[in-house]
Amino acid sequence: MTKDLHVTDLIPAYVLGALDGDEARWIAEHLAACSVCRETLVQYEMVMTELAYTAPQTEPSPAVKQKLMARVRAADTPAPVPPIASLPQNSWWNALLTLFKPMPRSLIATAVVLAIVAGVWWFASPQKQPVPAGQMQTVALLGTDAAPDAEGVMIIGADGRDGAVVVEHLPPLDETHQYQLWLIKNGKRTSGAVFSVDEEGYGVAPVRPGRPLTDFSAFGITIEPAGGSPAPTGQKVLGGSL
Amino acid sequence: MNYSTVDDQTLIKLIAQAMPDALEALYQRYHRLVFSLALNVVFEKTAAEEITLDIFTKVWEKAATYQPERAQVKTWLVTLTRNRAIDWLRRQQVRVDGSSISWAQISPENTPASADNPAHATETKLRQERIRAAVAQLPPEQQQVVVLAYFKGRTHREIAELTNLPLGTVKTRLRLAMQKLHRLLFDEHMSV
Repeated sequence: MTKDLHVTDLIPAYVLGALDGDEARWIAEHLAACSVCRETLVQYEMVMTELAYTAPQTEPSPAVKQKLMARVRAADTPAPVPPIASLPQNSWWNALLTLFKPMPRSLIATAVVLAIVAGVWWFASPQKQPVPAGQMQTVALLGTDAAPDAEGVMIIGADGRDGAVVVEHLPPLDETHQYQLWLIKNGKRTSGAVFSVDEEGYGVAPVRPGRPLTDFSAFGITIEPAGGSPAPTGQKVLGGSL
Repeated sequence: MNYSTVDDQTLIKLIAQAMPDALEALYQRYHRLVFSLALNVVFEKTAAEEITLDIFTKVWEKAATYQPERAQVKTWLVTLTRNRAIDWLRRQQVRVDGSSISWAQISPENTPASADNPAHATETKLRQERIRAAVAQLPPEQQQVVVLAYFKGRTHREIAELTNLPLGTVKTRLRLAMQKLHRLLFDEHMSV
């Protein structure tokens, strides 16, 4: 085993898993503390990735995809729900950037405008047509007098079931309060998500109500005790209709 | 929703937000790579399909833990797949004849083209040609140790036993092979 400051000679073998257990553990410990060797590691991982392409590319049977999608859509498959704080800021900006090109100065503003335009067009249409199945939908959330600068958007996935809420310019709350999203149908409110915003008022949360989001006619966000409430108790800050 | 213009990292972020459509898009993009790698490690279609299913299920479950600064999405997938497939090999205690293994056995020339995304198929084909050309420039003895390490998951010591070579020779050949592949693929100087 080398006594050099860096262990670059051993990194190719480490990447391939060709080192014995003790040696591999030693290298792993060294990598945790050495940025130079970590960069070398990244380089050889790229080689390892390319080597995968030496295998002739063939198709698995269609049943693999069917099983996979059945698994992730099943009610008992836990979906990853990261804490809001762990999400990088602007993660949904990046997602929206890709979905709504060209990029405007404010992505949410553009999504709001698009949603409003689509909503106005739809409302004014002599014959209202449902949104074609298989298309992602957005619903603009507009700030109330309690939060006039706030903006938001409900994003409903192409299957109409799951989605996410993205908000901006909402005042950060103290630790005893959080924002709560309500899904509204026939006057009845169902909790959709409980979340906090960062110091700049930005927040994002997945919404998986267990029934299609397209069942609901409107969405609202209120200020509630931390952890949420069974029904809205606080000020409404954002709202929008499907 | 057309995800074809969404980059890999954004897809992972969407998957972490529990968007099944995003997982489906990632599957469409990489299922062939994952399955083919698994198949060329385990040489059993049913096992390779199970591994493919497991890998994408793991992506669904662990997307929030993916660190973009650590590795590209493709590298993450390849690493997960290779490790899983080699685990399968070890559990099956598959015997390997080190004297006869060669790259030709792993990589026959015929590669079915994809019909669903021509641009992706073209990129894949170019990658294949590039890596195969690089491998072809390795001396046969270096190719042999890389195959044993990469597709059979053998350690230095195991390769030395299989090939009846000194341990130091195996270590040197593997290191030189990987260094040469890196130079050929990425045209960068690696200090040693």
